[in-house]
Amino acid sequence: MTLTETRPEEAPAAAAAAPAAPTGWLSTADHKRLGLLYIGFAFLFLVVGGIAGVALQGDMATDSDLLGGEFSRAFGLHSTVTPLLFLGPLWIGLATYLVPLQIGAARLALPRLHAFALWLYATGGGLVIAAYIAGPQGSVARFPAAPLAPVEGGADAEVGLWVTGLLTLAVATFLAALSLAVTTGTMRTRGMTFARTPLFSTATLLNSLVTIIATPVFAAGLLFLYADQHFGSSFFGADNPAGQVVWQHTVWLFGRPEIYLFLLPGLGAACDIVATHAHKPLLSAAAARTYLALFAGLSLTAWAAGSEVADAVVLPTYTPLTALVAVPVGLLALLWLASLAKGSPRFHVSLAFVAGFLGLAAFGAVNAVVAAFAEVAGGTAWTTAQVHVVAFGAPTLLAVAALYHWAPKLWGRELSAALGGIVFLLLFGGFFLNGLGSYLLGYDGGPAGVSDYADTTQLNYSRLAAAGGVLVVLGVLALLADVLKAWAGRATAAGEADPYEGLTLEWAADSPPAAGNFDSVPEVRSPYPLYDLRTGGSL
Amino acid sequence: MAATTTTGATRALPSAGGERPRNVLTLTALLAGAGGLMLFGALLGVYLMLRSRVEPFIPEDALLDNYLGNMMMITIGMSALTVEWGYSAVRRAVTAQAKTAYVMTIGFALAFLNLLWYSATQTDYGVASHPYGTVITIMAVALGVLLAVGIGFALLTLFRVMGAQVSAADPEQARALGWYWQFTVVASAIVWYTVVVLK
Repeated sequence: MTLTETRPEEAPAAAAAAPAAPTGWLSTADHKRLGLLYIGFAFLFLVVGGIAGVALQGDMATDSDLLGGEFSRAFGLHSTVTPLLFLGPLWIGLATYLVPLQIGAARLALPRLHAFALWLYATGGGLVIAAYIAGPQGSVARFPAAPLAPVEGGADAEVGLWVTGLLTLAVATFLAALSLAVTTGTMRTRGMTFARTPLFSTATLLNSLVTIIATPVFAAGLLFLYADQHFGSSFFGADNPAGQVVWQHTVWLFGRPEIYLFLLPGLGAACDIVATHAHKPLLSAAAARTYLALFAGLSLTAWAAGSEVADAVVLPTYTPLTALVAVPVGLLALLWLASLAKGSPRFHVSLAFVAGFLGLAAFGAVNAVVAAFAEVAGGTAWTTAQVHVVAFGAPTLLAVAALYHWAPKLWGRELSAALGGIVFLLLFGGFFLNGLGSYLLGYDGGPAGVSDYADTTQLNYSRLAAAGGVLVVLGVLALLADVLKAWAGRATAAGEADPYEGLTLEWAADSPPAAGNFDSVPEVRSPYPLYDLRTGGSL
Repeated sequence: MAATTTTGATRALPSAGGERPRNVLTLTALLAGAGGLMLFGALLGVYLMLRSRVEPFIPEDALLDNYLGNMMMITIGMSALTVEWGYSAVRRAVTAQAKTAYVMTIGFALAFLNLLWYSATQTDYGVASHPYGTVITIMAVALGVLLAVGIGFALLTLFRVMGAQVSAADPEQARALGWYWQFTVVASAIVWYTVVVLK
């Protein structure tokens, strides 16, 4: 083999093993460092969004007006930061670290572009948070609501920060998706066809493709907002009858797939987690791949949900098209259960999180059916519950499952199983209680996003939701403690490369992987090459 | 960048990092182009929404010159041919033709940008004048940015052709440029047909 040039990200192992100077992290193009930085920033932003969420729940659960006039600002901060700056980027971080390992590659296809995307994300996130912190009360609209009104004489600094931050985030998300899609498309090792690509990597590819399609639509809407704020146009002004509808479509066309995209990588991760701990390949990896593709496709068809978009944005239940998205999730769940039944499962805490995901998803589905018959009005706390349980809680449990499952690769050692159990109980219990309180509040007609409930029953429901929120915060703190403990020992960690007898290629690399990831890559003749090595055949 | 030469023929399979991946640039250009088309799809959606809800449309005082619009389309259309000529020349290892083709492509693109700027000044219908002006200006700026990136890409390809780094043995960058350029031309054509022809 002849190499004619050495890329910086393929530096010899000895150099990469040297103590990491801060500048090394700032200028890195190594996918492992980039992935860890993504994960680190995601949790940093979660802390900010979480503090706002706790403040909101505290205000809603008490008679007193804790936040005063700052309620709507805290609401906007929480509802923007938590999904856009935490959950989505957390999946990007996990994919950045794991996809090259899963496909037998030494690096990302576009490492410098990916590093650029990371720092754009960090900058954009900082700008959005700065806008909320710096802005006067009510100056920045909460994310999914009506567009900002045009201003005369130029935008306030905080509005400029908000719009610029969101535009920056849109570009960063697009570039990261581009990098991950090209990596999965071009860097797979010899023998790894698309049909043999591990399911987390497959889900990442599908996720990236839908992101590449959906994000520019959001960027288009933001461009009009930017023009209104900075160039004196009045596109979203009251005198333009099309302005409000354009914004609603923009948010709708981006938001529908985006909500489902928080879950799609988690479904792929759960496929790999279940197969690994069942110690046997999924009963049908091809079927799982089909269900993932179906989920990605249906997330786009949700665009067509509702001819009256203005109503659809606030309605708690959507149309049969959006309900169909549940079908591939249900089929995947059946596949996981059947694979566990046919395999030789050994319990791992990540499986508890997958089970918790199924529990929360079922909880949300039951309430969706109930809401359809109860004719819950739009704009109630029911919607808040559905967002917290289905759109955020359930995918978050899968993300935590992934962190526990792939911890040996990420930090060189497994996270604590005992602490993991506590984290699971706190997070699952917290999301469940929070959802239960908000669902009941919604059925009682309690509105979403208000600081006070005059009715005692509604106040009690709100307190139940707040108690759930406190449990979630405690769960996140316990998780962070577990991760930081593992992170602190990373420099000296030389964990077992394959503690689970894994099935996919990442378990052939060291824990944590050395520079270049692999000395040699096993031959790939099925979606589970390490299983083939152990059993002496392909599926 | 340091140059090293290593030999290791004994491995059953090569190290994962050893082989240069194929089609990275081509796939990047295809996906980025698809994203760019989605942006223009969204902008056209906004335009059509305006057309259905704002009366009169287009505003009576807006001047949209068919001649300039058609010239822009013809110009960018010719660049679609020259960029493919450049790729073909690279594949056939006719470096002189490739260089000529890329210089012409860049020239057409600059002429297009010049026409775009001239049209904007002629219409005298700015971003703040009317929602129609806002959408037209944003479309024009987005198209200009898309083409400016393309010009940078074409310049890079031209220099790499001159330095024999893009050649018949390794034509991928020329192919990727071709794809990117065609996406840009398609975006321009859609904008031209909707905004200029259909009005």
